[in-house]
Amino acid sequence: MKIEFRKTNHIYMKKTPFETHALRQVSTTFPSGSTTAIIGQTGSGKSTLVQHINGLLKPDAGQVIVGGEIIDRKAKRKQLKTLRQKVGMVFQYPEHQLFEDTVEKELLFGPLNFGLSKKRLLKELPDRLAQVGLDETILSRSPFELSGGQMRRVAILSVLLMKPKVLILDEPTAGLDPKGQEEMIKLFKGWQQEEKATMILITHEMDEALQLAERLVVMDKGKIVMEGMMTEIFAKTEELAQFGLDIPESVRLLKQIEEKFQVTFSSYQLTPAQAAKEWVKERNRKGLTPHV
Amino acid sequence: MEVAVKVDHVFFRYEDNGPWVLQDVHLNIKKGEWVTFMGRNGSGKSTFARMCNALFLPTKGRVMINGRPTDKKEYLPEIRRQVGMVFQNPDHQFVAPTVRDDIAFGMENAGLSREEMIERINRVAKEVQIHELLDKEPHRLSGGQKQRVAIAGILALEPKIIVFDEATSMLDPKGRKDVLQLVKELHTKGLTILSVTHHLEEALLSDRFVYMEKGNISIDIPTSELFSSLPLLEKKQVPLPYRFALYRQLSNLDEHQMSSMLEELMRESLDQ
Ligand SMILES: Nc1ncnc2c1ncn2[C@@H]1O[C@H](COP(=O)(O)OP(=O)(O)OP(=O)(O)O)[C@@H](O)[C@H]1O
Ligand SMILES: Nc1ncnc2c1ncn2[C@@H]1O[C@H](COP(=O)(O)OP(=O)(O)OP(=O)(O)O)[C@@H](O)[C@H]1O
Ligand SMILES: [Mg+2]
Ligand SMILES: [Mg+2]
Repeated sequence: MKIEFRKTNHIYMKKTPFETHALRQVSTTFPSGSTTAIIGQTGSGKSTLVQHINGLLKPDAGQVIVGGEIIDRKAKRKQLKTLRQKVGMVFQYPEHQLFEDTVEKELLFGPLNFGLSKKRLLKELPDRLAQVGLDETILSRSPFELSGGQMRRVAILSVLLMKPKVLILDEPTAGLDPKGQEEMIKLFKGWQQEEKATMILITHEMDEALQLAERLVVMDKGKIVMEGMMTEIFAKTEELAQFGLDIPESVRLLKQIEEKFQVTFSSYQLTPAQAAKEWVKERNRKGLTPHV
Repeated sequence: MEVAVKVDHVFFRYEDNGPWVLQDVHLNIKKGEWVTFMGRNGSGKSTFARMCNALFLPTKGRVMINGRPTDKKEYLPEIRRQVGMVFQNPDHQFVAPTVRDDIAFGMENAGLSREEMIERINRVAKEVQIHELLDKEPHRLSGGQKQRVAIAGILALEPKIIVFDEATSMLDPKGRKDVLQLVKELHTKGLTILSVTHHLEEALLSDRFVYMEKGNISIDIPTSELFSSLPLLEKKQVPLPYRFALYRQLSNLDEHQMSSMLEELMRESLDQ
């Protein structure tokens, strides 16, 4: 499903002392089936932008077009509601999306609404829970009495169970332990390839962006300031720095090593094992131990 | 040695007959020490953190803050004043309609004068860069802005011990660096710091690394031993961040000179 922003504006609490102009004339397209990461400093408008795609927010001016559905200032409630069925969103804070009194009800709520069979869902659940690193004992518990990371896992699963056409992930791995982060990135990737869904990921972890997305959008003060293929944008270190952003940790480390120890890596997308081998080989070739 | 936080064989469960969430947690944290806590989701880190300012009391065992047991009512106000806690979800911390009032609220309770309050608000607003947010509603901020405000609210109270429970998880890389710099300064001033995080790099800044597993402490080492203890983390299937993984690869190739050069590089880049 294709998503288009056309000169979209959003102003929070208009005509009050609290007025905040959060989106300024944003125009961009997320092609159907594409994977895009959105990065940008705190308060730059990332969450505001994506909340227009699932109908949580309406533009104050301009349009958002989601799979042919045109959303503007005058969009009706019903229209926004249909969006919510096509667009799944994992919220920045999982507490903001959980509302049932048990995890089981939480997970079944959406799918049951779509008329899926309860019996089948219940049979599926143990496997699906395992995919997000949880087990069945959690089903009878209150989602609000879980640890932060457990809550996050429930929120992610409840969205995936709805099989949305568009998947929006707003900092989905914040609060997950490293193993959970790794597993969830794999899960999102596999899911996206299988469903051919349009996926949009907001993240502060550049390595995560690199692993999950092909396109990158950079936001600053309510505007899109850079946009393009991942590798293209991450090559522009200085421009990124202007917006207070950095290249991925792995790339930065390899560049640091190159500079400090006069080595040249064949690429910046090496696994740690590959990088170690290349570094050692280069040192042996030079026949000396590198010195500072 | 002055002990700031003494945790004496603590057991905890949320419900009678429920599962133990903390099981025999035992450690002493020295005054001025900076301790990093890591562990899998649900291992008990936040529960433990809440023991340190008497939000929860041990089911068994005892927690003492500067020698005062947390289960004695008469010490409660003093303990709350000494231990500041930045919650995993900042929404849990906000009580007032504007950021300014929210920061003031805690200080009012502590009985500070108006002048002192204004001065401290200005200072912390500068420290965590939230000047332009002071007149906004805390609940209507972006995710990262909320975390900054939550940190400012605690700093204004000038506690002796600060517990950060994943306090930078939603900050952009620069914001995280700034906060870590700030924590470094607090540490230099002699504050005791307990920091829960999933970022192994942050441990390098601290004095001590504690790994929690199923309500228990399974690793407790000075951070000077962190590099040599990486195999232990690998055995526990903790994926290592890129730079630590590269370090391990070099050690596995017996390139110890190179791995120490990398370690040095990592430590240098922490100071930037
Ligand atoms: N509900 C709201 N009411 C009023 N202002 C808001 C609201 N939500 C966000 N804002 C403001 O709009 C701007 C953009 O916020 P947004 O949440 O989109 O940022 P973000 O890029 O997602 O930041 P972060 O990385 O911190 O989550 C900020 O200045 C924020 O204070
Ligand atoms: N209010 C509560 N009532 C009952 N059980 C709870 C409550 N809060 C947490 N638990 C359970 O206690 C255990 C420890 O939770 P805790 O929040 O301390 O974990 P954590 O290490 O902080 O995890 P995370 O990394 O996900 O934040 C978990 O199994 C959790 O489900
Ligand atoms: Mg956000
Ligand atoms: Mg926690």
